[in-house]
Amino acid sequence: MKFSAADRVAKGAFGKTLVVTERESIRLRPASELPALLRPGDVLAYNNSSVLPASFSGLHPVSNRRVEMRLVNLLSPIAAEWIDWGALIWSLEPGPSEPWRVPTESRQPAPFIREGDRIELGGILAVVRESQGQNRFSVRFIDEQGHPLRGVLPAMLKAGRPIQYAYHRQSLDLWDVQTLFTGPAVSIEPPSAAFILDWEGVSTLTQKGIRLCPITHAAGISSLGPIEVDAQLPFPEWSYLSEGSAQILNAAKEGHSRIIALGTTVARCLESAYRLSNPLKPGWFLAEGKLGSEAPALFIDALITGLHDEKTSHYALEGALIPSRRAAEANAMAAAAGLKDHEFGDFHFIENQSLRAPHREPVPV
Amino acid sequence: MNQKRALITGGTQGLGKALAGQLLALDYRVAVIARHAEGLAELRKLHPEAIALQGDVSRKEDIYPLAIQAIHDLRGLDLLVHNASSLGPPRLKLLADTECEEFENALQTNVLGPFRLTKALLGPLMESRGRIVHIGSDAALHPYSHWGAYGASKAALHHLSRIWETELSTLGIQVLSWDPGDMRTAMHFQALPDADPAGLKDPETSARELIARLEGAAS
Repeated sequence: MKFSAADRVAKGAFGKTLVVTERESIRLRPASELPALLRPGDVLAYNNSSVLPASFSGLHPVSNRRVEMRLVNLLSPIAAEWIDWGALIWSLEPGPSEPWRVPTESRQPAPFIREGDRIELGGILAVVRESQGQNRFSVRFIDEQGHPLRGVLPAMLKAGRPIQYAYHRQSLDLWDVQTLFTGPAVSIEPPSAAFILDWEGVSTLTQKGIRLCPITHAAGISSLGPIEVDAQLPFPEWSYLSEGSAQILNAAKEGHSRIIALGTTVARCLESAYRLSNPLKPGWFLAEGKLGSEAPALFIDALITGLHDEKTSHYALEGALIPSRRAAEANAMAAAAGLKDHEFGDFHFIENQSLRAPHREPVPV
Repeated sequence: MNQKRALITGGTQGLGKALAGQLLALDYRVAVIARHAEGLAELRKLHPEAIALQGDVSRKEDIYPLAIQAIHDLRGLDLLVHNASSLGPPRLKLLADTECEEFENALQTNVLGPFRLTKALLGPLMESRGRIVHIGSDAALHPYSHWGAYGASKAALHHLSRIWETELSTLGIQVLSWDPGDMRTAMHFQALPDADPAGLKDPETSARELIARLEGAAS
């Protein structure tokens, strides 16, 4: 059973539904009841990253063809800032005024692009460093002289626009894709589970004694195009824990308070951090590997996420918390109720049922 | 020790420039937003450590790029000062002679811009339990003739500030609406070209008073 796609901007809990998958039951609740599911002392960890405008239109001068370049994931060490990226590049055929309406899996490849070629992206220059097959390349932002472009962020903010979705009714502006939190600008797409929160919700949680704990995780692209290629996702992504957040999380773990991850990016950050060090250490680190039925969640007590089609990597991640049969049951109930998936859709609260299972050796994530 | 971080709009002249200099002297990291590159270049000559952000807070499209850039450069935020201001019309006029577009300009710069920028930056301010200052005016409280667009917009800003104060306390964010008094600034002489400079405050004095108020509130 497939979900229908949420095709317009809708942030906050109002009008949304939360599928609640707990040990004993699966039920549907209004998303505004999220605070009722949490207890005083719980820690709600959220991804505070801002979303970069990660789609650039421009010219490939060697062939004189128009192209779209879409960033995939940050390759540079975080200290080197936003120089090196994995990217998708497509040829833009003359015609449609809204080229993003063409689904990525049906787009024209750009076989004419070679390593070393420059691409002019409306005031910002990139050089292709390596072809990675299909439409994937590694690219570097450079200055006119070909040197790495240090301090690239202002140029990116000027030249880029948010990644657009073919199924969406309107084009998305930069403010549409931001969550409430406006932290470090490292994400390519919104860490959209945070769209369950508006400030009313944050205030209610705070007043109830639920501690909000920021982490930063560079959410990469959610789709590369063909679904079989998407199986490679997620790629390694940069993650950061501040000293304060590491303290809150370690104290919660030690005191047996629950830790709830708001979004799959938060789950990946915390589970990776836990596998690197227990207790968690502050600082930047690269989250690699994938959570799933073979790599269960060992640190978080629950996950709040969107609804995900069963072919997606996000759905596979649910297997890190619940058996696949349970995830399928929840999806069937959600789809039967007409709930929606994608960035601005409905939500799923998943209690981690693997935590109290017999001890398993950590699988690297 | 953690360095405090401040963002000041309209920070290349008058009170904003004075605040930037004084906060830098107090070892804050300071970012300044202004519309014109020349003013920012001059500020950087005076204070090379200041972070210069070019943009217009009255433009909706500029708000997130400015907020994202500011948080990137400052690595968080403790103090947001909404200092940028517009008279509306280029010279004082009776309200009846004020063009709708001139009034809109005052509202965009003095009310909607601060509203949007605050909204965009609530996350970092919640994380730091930070503070927001709205630079007000006695024109917000008294119906001075010929100051209609400015006075009405500053009244709206003052009320906005008080509502933020009420609503944001649960998040640990403090909000202050603060009247610096009549200062020797370009804007004042734009409004009243014949004003006697001797009767006007030095913006440095007003900046000191505001910082003392903030330090007092923090202690």
